[in-house]
Amino acid sequence: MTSAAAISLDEVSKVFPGSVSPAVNRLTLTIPQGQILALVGPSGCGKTTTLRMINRLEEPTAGQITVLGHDHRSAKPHELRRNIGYVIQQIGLFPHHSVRRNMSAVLELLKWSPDRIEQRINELTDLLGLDPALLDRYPSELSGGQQQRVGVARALAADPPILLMDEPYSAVDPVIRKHLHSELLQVQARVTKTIVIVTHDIDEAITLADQVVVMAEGGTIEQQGTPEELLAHPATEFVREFLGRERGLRRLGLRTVGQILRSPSRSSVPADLEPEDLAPEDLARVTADTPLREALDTILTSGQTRAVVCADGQKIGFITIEHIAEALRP
Amino acid sequence: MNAIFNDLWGFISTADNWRGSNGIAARAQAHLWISFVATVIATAIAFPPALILAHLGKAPVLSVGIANIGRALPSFAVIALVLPISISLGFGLGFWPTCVALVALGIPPIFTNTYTGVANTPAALREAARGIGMTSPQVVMKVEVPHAMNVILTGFRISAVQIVATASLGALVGYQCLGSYVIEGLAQPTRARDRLLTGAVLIAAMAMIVDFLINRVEGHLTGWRSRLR
Ligand SMILES: Nc1ncnc2c1ncn2[C@@H]1O[C@H](COP(=O)(O)OP(=O)(O)OP(=O)(O)O)[C@@H](O)[C@H]1O
Ligand SMILES: [Mg+2]
Repeated sequence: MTSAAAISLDEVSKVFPGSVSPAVNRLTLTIPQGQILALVGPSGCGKTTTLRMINRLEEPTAGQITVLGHDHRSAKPHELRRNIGYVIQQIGLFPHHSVRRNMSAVLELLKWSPDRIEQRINELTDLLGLDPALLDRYPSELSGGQQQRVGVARALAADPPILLMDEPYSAVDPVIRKHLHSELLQVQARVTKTIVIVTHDIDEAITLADQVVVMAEGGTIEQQGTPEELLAHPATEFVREFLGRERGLRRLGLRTVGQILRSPSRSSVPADLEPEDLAPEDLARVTADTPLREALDTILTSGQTRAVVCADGQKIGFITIEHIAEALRP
Repeated sequence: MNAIFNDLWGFISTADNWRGSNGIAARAQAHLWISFVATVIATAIAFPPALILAHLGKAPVLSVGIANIGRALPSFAVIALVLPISISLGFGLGFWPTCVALVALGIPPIFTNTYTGVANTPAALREAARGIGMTSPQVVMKVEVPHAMNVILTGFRISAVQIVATASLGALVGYQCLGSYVIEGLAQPTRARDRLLTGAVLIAAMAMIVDFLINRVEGHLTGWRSRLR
């Protein structure tokens, strides 16, 4: 990764009072600017502790943390935190305030004028696709998914360059979660933050992250890399185990039909096919946006070995099981 | 029943009984005044330490202890105890010994409820509040207190109502208040039954009005709770 580090941890350790073994042990980690980094690992391995040390909700017992080029102890903790959005699993919306006031909580701390706050709330509502009618409700009057969005809106309110998220989606159901994932990616495409997201869910990490860090017990790093690197070349047995049995399928989830259709080496319309073979009605259809994993499933489910690729209802080519297998070849 | 009502009405509806330094108006005012002063002092003594200790998560045993001492403490005994001290310090009879007893009575509910309410703030709320950059005092004032407001106000209401009801005891040590009617009535149960009744009814009414008013404020300040699902 060539981009500059937004956050770096240098030999950072945390030993909680009264415990002998460190929760995080000499952790060295670089978090590149403008990327989404996922911190994954088994329960109790120190993910939350690592996150909370970055915004100083927990003080490291040793080591140094640099945030945007400054030692993170150079500012007062509460000032540091106003520049770092923080989203927790339980969301923690203030139940005694309306959604609007929850979203403006940081802005009030920063003493923004009411006009400016109002304008910012409108921007955030738009950015996160929130229904403006929800603004005057109390958090208890929202669904879990809506609360989650408000939690993210609150964290992003002051436009902080960094966003820390601790298992933000574990309390919502899988359908909503998928939806929130694509929303987060859309938000990221528009505002480009440095995002650290803690999760148990390897698929969530693969879907969202530019970089994945696999942590093991005691807050040590097993491997850091892109999802593709991890899935293709797990560095240790621990990582292999953690990524699960379906590494190949998960890698297919990272690429779309369009990406392999476009590669010149893979002709989309094999020459030896007759025109009527090009579009037999019993072939399943996929689009250029379909992830390969889903395309493979579509093909297998149709009982064939290939599918038609369509764009705007027009057939633009074929994709076969061989094409897909090739995609995994180094 | 009718005779009792007539006695009461007869006394209350006589304009002369309202006037003068021993009239209903003056005694009711004095009654309210000492209750008010005692409530303010009790709040000033109990509220801040309860808030700070609960925020820091310190001394949970102390908070239970204070509640229990409060329940065991007879106000009459406190007055008796404070009386000689007050006299020897030159504060005299009446107002101050009574006030001290009322303050002692008022402290436990305020302390205990404030402590319990604030200490029970959900951990996620505190985490979120600190996480978005609130200082400790801001976490207390913007999150913990508003969130615990209903419990805190309930404690305040219990204190205020008990103080109003108990302020009547001041009459025993020479403080002219609504309790004075009860004392006068008890001294001559047959001839001054109207005074006894008037005292009892007015004390009860005043306690109920205070209860009602604080309840209204409570409903106003904690409206969000009624929308909890
Ligand atoms: N305040 C604390 N006091 C003492 N020990 C703690 C404290 N917080 C965390 N720990 C310990 O530190 C270790 C790491 O905890 P941490 O919460 O960082 O794990 P995690 O990776 O976030 O786990 P999970 O996936 O279950 O959330 C655990 O062994 C935990 O028991
Ligand atoms: Mg955790």
